Amino acid sequence: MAIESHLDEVLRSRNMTSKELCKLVGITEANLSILRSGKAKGIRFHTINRICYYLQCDVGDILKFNGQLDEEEGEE
Amino acid sequence: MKKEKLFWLLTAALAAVAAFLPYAGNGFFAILSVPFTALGWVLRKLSLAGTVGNVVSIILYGLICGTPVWFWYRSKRRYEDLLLLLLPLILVVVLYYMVNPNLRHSMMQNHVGDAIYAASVWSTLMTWGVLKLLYSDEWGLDRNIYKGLRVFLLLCAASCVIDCFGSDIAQYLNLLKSQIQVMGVVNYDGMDIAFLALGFLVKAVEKGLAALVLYRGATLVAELERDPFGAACVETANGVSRMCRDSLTIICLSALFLNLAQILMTPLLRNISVSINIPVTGLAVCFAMLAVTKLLVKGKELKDDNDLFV
Repeated sequence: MAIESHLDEVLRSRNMTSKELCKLVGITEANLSILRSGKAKGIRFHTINRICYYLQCDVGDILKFNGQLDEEEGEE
Repeated sequence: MKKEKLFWLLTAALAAVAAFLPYAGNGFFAILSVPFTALGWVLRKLSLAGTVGNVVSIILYGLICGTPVWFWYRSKRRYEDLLLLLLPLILVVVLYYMVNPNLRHSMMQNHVGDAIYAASVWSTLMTWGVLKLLYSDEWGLDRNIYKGLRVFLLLCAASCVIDCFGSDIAQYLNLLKSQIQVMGVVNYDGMDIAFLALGFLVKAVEKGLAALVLYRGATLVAELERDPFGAACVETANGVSRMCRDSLTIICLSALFLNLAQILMTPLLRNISVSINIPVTGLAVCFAMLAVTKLLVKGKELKDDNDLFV
């Protein structure tokens, strides 16, 4: 995945569990696990807004671009 | 599985009954007119059976026509329930002409007239039922539509079977009998019979497959009601889609075969009139169902995609 999730690192640094974050943000653990595992196809502004607010971080702290192009887009 | 067997058994039984009824344009309509022709026959017999019988007949006549008023009284008396007050007026006229068929207009004195009179009652009941489903505040609108659609699809499936395997068979046999009678046993022509049989077979294939597709469609609607994006619904949709594809192929090929056979057989036929065979019913049903199933599967794919958006 070209966009990598560093949510686990941010959670560790903030000393927060994913369960607590889910409760604050208002999403299910299954949804959050999709984001953490890199399987998510997208993220709503509303959700990333709340994650950044409760983790007191920037979008770039959670999502990083690794310089690659996604395989599906590359084949086109 | 039990309900499925019961449905097909009941449909087969009604088709068998329709085969023995006087032809009224459509086997299904002939079946629908049976309750009213039967009531008319009973009331007529009673009224001709003396003073006591006549009084009983009048009381029964009044009770039957007045029953919808009692249902209206017990109902919530919404706008659609006003149709229950229209129904007694319709029943008065319909039963009167069922009891006294000789007083009908000359064009309505045959069995097609019976079906038309009966249709006015069924039409009123159907309108009341549909409006009740759509505007009832007891259930959510989606649930009403699924329920109504399921009943409609089952009725259509039954109609296909009753029409084709009931009254159409009887019509073909009558036509056959009349050919033999006109021509005499000596002039019996196998080619005419073969052509009639072929024509019926092709029609039976079309209507039979349409009935199966409609029945599976009703099953799909039941799954939709339970969970429109569930695995069971998608599996059923895929099954219906395959059935539609196969049915369309068979229907088109059989119609093509009949139309080509007509070209070859026409010079050899004596008394059977030929016609263009385009299986509109079968094509319409299968294409409509195919479009719906494709949409459902696409909807599930979109939902799965959407679930990957956090």
